[in-house]
Amino acid sequence: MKENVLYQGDFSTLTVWLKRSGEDWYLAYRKADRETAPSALREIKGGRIPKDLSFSRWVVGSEPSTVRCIPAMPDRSVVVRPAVPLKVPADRDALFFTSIPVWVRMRAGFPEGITLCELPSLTLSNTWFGEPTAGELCYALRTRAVRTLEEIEIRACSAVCPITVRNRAPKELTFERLCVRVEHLSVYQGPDRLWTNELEVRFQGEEHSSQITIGREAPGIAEGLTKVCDARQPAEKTLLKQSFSVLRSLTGF
Amino acid sequence: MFASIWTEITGFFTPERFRTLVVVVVVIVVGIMAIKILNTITGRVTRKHLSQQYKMLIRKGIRYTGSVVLLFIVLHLLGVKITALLGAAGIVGIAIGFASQTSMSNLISGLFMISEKPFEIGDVIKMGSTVGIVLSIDLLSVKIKTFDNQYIRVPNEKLLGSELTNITRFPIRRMDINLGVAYKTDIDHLKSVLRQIAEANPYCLDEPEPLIVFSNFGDSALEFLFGIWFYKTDYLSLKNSIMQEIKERFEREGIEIPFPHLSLYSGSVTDPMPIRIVNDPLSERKAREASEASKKPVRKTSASERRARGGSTPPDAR
Repeated sequence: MKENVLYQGDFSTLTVWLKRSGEDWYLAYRKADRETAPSALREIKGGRIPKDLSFSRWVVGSEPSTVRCIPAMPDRSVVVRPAVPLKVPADRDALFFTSIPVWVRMRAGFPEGITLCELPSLTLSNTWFGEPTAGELCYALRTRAVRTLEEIEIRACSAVCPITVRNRAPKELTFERLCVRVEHLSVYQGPDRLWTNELEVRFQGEEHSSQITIGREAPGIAEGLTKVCDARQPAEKTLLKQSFSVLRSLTGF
Repeated sequence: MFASIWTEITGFFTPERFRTLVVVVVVIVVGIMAIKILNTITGRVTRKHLSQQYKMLIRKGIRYTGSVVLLFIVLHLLGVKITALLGAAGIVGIAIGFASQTSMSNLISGLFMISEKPFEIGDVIKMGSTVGIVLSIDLLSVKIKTFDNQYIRVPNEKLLGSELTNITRFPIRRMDINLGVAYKTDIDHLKSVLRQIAEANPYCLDEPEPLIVFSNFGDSALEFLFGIWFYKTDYLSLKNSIMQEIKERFEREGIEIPFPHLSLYSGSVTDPMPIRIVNDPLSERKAREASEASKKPVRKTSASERRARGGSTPPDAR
């Protein structure tokens, strides 16, 4: 990056402005209501800078002159909610894909660098997973839960997560919400889109915890993938978590 | 003069007494250090297992017990008879007990409260009109810091005997917003708009779902309760954003938030109140015609008919 030149990058609903001045880096961002076409950091002319931008300043040092925008998974678990509830009969498996909006991690310097900030490319609404007295704050994501690769919409700022639900309970599973522990997922760059590790959820009944298995490698369904961001929290191979939740009306509280 | 004082001092500080004094000083210093070390060790051991108020209670217990033990050791070293002192202390204790009934009541209330644990340090509580963050829970009182940075001390006895709300006990809360909309509003459209507002606000929890209740036919408006869930730390962010969003969205959708208004009727219950528009050429002409017509002989109307027509004002002038 040239010194004292303002750069702008668009990531879905997020627009970032960045400038390097001596040892300091200046960064401002703005969130729009609608998604815009993504674009990498580009030099912009002074006349096109919005007047009321509020810049933050980092003292990084004179050494790094490069900045990288790395796609990362959100900082909290994401509760995926299919637009139409999915029913999986007993002893059946179902593979579906969901697109998770990524966060943009701004890193000054290469190869290690310093993280300036992390911003969501699309701000997801909060949701609660669990009991109102004890649960977990997550992000809410409505998904079409498409079943084939061809149906997946290509979005530059979303990572496709392949999820296999294995119903090992004696009765039908009505899948209305699934808590995806995205903090254990890495992000991979493919030829046309971003991917995450494969996720396998073994449902063993409502009274039991579900067994979640996170794929160690890039998803086998796609080819030519390169890891671009590590998981926030490396996980054991399987996690026992209460992943499914029957949608309940809590309006009586 | 100075020589005699010096002689008295040197006479008092015999080598034996001097040795005792040194021992007392050493015991005090070592005792204080031991209490502090014990407190630190206990704090580290209980850091992960106990709540802040229990830790504070243990810390104070160690400090006070240690101080009393240290005092007795020092008195013993100085040659004071502890038995006699304890006897005297018993009598004094009874006297103090009678005199400090309120303090004892607070103390016992404090012990009950610590065992019941209705709130912890850092919780936001509401008692009467006071809302604030709990700073400390002591044996005699609870200290609260209000949001406008005032320090309030509430005696434990009062706290135990009154209704108390722990606002931040649970991780999520519901914000209830009472809305009034004009009677002409399409209710289904209103509900849909409110759901969209809740969905679009990132602080508003998607689950539990927002609550929309048609609560009342008000004097001037249809009254609705809009209950939205949020994470306890997002209160201000949600309050500020959602109110603005409701106002802006209602304006865009043409949903009217009516001001309180009162309809006055003269005569019949359902007929509107007759009014005459002044400085209106059409109204004035009609009024003039009516006045001229009234000079001509007409059939007299009854009082009830006049009331039904809206009093003495000509119907055309309404």
